[in-house]
Amino acid sequence: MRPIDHTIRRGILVDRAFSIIGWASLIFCLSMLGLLLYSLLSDGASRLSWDFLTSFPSRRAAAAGAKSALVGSLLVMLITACTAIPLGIAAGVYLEEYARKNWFTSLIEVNIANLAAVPSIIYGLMALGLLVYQFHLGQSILTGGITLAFLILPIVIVATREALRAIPQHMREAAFALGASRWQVVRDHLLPYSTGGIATGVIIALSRAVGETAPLVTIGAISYIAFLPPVPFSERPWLPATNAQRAVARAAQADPLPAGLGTGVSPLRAGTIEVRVRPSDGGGAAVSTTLAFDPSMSIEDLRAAFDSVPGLAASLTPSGYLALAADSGSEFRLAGDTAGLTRALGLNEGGGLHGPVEWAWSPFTVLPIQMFNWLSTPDEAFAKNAAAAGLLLMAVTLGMNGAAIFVRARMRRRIKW
Amino acid sequence: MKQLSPASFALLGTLCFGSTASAQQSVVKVDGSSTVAPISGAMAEEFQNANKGMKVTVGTSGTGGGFKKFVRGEIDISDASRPITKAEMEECTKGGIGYIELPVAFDALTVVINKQNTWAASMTTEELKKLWEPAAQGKITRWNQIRPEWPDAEIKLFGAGTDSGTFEYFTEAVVGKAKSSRGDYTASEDDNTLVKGVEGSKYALGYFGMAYYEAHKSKLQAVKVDWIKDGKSQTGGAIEPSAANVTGAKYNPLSRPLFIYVNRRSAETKPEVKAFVDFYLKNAKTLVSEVKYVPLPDATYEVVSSRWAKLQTGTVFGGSHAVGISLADVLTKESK
Amino acid sequence: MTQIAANPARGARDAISHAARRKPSAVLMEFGLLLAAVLSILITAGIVYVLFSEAVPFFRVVSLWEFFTDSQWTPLFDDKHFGILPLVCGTMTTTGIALIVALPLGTIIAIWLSDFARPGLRETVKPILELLSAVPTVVFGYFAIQFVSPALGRVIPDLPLFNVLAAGVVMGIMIVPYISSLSEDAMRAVPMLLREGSYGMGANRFTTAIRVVFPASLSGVGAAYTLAISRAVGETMIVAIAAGMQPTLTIDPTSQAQTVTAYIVQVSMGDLPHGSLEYQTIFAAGLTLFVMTLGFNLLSVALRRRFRQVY
Repeated sequence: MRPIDHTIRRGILVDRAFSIIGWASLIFCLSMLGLLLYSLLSDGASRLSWDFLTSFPSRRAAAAGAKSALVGSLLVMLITACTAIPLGIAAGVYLEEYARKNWFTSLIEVNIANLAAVPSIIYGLMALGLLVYQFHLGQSILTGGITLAFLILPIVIVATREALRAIPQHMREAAFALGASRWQVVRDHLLPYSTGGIATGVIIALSRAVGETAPLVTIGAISYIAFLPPVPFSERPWLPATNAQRAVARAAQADPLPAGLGTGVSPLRAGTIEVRVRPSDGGGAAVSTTLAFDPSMSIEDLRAAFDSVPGLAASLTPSGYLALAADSGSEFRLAGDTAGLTRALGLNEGGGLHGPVEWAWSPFTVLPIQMFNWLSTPDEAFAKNAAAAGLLLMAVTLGMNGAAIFVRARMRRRIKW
Repeated sequence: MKQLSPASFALLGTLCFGSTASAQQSVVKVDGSSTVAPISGAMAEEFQNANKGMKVTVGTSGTGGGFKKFVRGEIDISDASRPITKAEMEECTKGGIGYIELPVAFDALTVVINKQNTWAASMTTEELKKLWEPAAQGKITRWNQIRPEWPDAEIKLFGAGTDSGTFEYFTEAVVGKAKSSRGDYTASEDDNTLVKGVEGSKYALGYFGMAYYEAHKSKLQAVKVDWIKDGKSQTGGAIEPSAANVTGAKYNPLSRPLFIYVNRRSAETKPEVKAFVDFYLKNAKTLVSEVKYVPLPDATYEVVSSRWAKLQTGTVFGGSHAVGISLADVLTKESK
Repeated sequence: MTQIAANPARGARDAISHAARRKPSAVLMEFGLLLAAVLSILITAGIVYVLFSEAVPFFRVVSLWEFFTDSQWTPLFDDKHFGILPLVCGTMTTTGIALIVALPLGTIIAIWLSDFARPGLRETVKPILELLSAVPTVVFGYFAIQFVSPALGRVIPDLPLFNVLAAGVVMGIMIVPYISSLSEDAMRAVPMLLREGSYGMGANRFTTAIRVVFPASLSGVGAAYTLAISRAVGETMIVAIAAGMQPTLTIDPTSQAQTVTAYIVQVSMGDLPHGSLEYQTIFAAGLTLFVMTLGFNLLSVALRRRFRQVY
């Protein structure tokens, strides 16, 4: 009896020992998370303030803020969400509910499994070659958003499939038995029941996208941005000055406008253009002047006509570009152009409204890139800014993960099959 | 929630970016040398503060990278830590790009060592060459290989990123041929890497712009440099990299002028570019010293401003790197 | 009405077959969903297309032989060398260190969670542990350079601030949850019967976990390992921030190194002169990285499938 007793006691001892090792490993990992948070807090907490959130980056560490990065992250996420969520759910629904078991389906499945593990920087290279250089989307919010959408697509697809798979088969059978079409089953039964699971996956996917840096560095989002993308339907600024984008004639020659001017773009016709001038403090009303043009006018006549507008000075640059400038303290815009002058010369009209999606073409920076930027600045004071940006990032990503855990737990409690 | 179908999501997606309104936004685009970037960045910041609604982006692609974008007409202003090269001039001609060359400040390269380094407070250009030339790769790895009395310890080398003007300038000034360098050292576009690297290792040696040294004076030690040419000292002993020695044209060959190159077409057709460069030249003196570079003398700024006012294109350097150039040289070249 | 009354059975059949006939809108819907699924293939195709179309001109200038045998990587120098080995070596070293940290920790935690911890504790610990992999990598980079590297420097004299060790260790901590979560899933999928059999034979928990559960879940654990390796190989920001930027052919963890990913970041941050040889180098490097991770990913997929088939 004694040896068995001994063996059992030793077994229990080994179990206890391993239990302690397990606890220790776990505590080690969690303490790393704690240390990380501590080092961020000790460096960055003092920098976190309302000013930090509402200031543009600056060369003075103490004055620098994360405003453009925050707005950039938000807008990039908007595009990412609008792209990845519908596409990911649709693909997940197809694979789980529609696809037949054949080689093509299994190709898609293996492909998605691989895509989920492709390094994020590879997505950046793809976006650089394809979106930036082939599709000419530029180094814009749009490019950034689509890149991250591609990156998280597999996560959304997998989450959708798992959520759908968790719904018992008899739910589908019951609906089919009542004559519902496959799409009706998906729309009326499966999607509503899987909302929780899908939402969890989507939140986790987006939280990953918020923190991504490498693919956006690759497409070239890294630079100093101290302005915000245009707000949809906001008024464009009036102009203190505008210059023609196309040379009209040598200043020395006071010849009639060359016949070729504007061909292919928009011919110059006989017509009028309205010039509105107003004080730049926005206080006074605009004074409107209407000028008449016809194609036979010389470049000098054109200049003189603009120059005659009160509050506006017109001149010709050495290479023959028409330059308009409002007197100091006022600004202007061009409107009511029936002569096709602004298009023929490529003049900026000023005023008017920004388009609804103009912001998507704006250059941008995002929070992780701003953090990387600050971390790369030698001045130690910027490391504090980096830490503060890191705290913001952690708050966003941990908050989103917390939300995902919460949603999952709630759905688990509510749904009982 | 029932109605939240993929179809409506897809529609939402289309609404979000379905339109192809690729609106041209009037942004002043500056790119190029990371050495000049602090100046341009400070200018951009102050300019945008003074003129609400104006947009300036400042990239740091390196002088070579900046010029590549410049000749393609992708940017309005190229930050350069060396004059334009012959090849770049040809590219400009090919692309129909007129460039206005505007010196804006002086920079000095600083060779730095760790604070605890007690032996290498001054070095000759020959010793630097021995250390940095391509033949040194894998061979000159210990301090006592440079001077026998120095410690028998491995040198940890740090240098500017290979696409930077600093790299080109250092290699030309020290090795004698631009971009000719050993490769087994830490090359970084990010000067922080270099500052931290040298700070962290007793046997380290690195080089970068004086601005970074000035900002980290407390952590690093600057090496006094003696310019040896044709077997004798051109500078009469080792010279300390200080602002006075740079303006006094004593700290050679490691001080140099910094430039911005403005696309002439942008200058004429984009009022915001004109306004920005006007602002740049008007505020150069104060902001250049604020970001710890050496401003040009007042007289030189006047010559530069008149060049700008005339939109005068072309270079005064004839497409070669200007090693050991002094303020006086620039002045005479400018007044020609 | 009268017809249905006359032959109710037939009327009902008609109605059903009418309903069952697929409406064009339903077909359209299915097609739309199919397109979304096919998009994932297009993304892969896009990746492969971009990598190859940029790398092929590169390999026309630089032979594959040179690419894989030259021991120097200096594409941005006057004296250009295009040997990918130093970068691959940097990637391998950082990955190796990460695995030395993550494999034991991850495996121990997985075994502990699946066979030792109470279910309630497990449900609490797992999501918290998974937060580790939710931390943005740039924040881990910050942690590596601002905290871990100086801390290691106090233990190891003359450790440069930028070193492979700090980057690798932090990367290892990052991938612990990948290993622990996936392995734990695999271990828990091992049928209770096997454990009970082992307990019935008088084995203790530890022996059961090591001798029965672990071998039984091996292919699932293997899938977790390979996925973690793939993550480590592709990790970018931590190494770009903390490992330095020096491509050297060394496995010394106290020195600096550059990984394939860090090189791509370095060039991207500097300049991308479209079409030049140096622009193409990042795609050649990217292709190398893609092939490396693809191997691990497919292995992981295969292992997971095998594991599913077993149980």
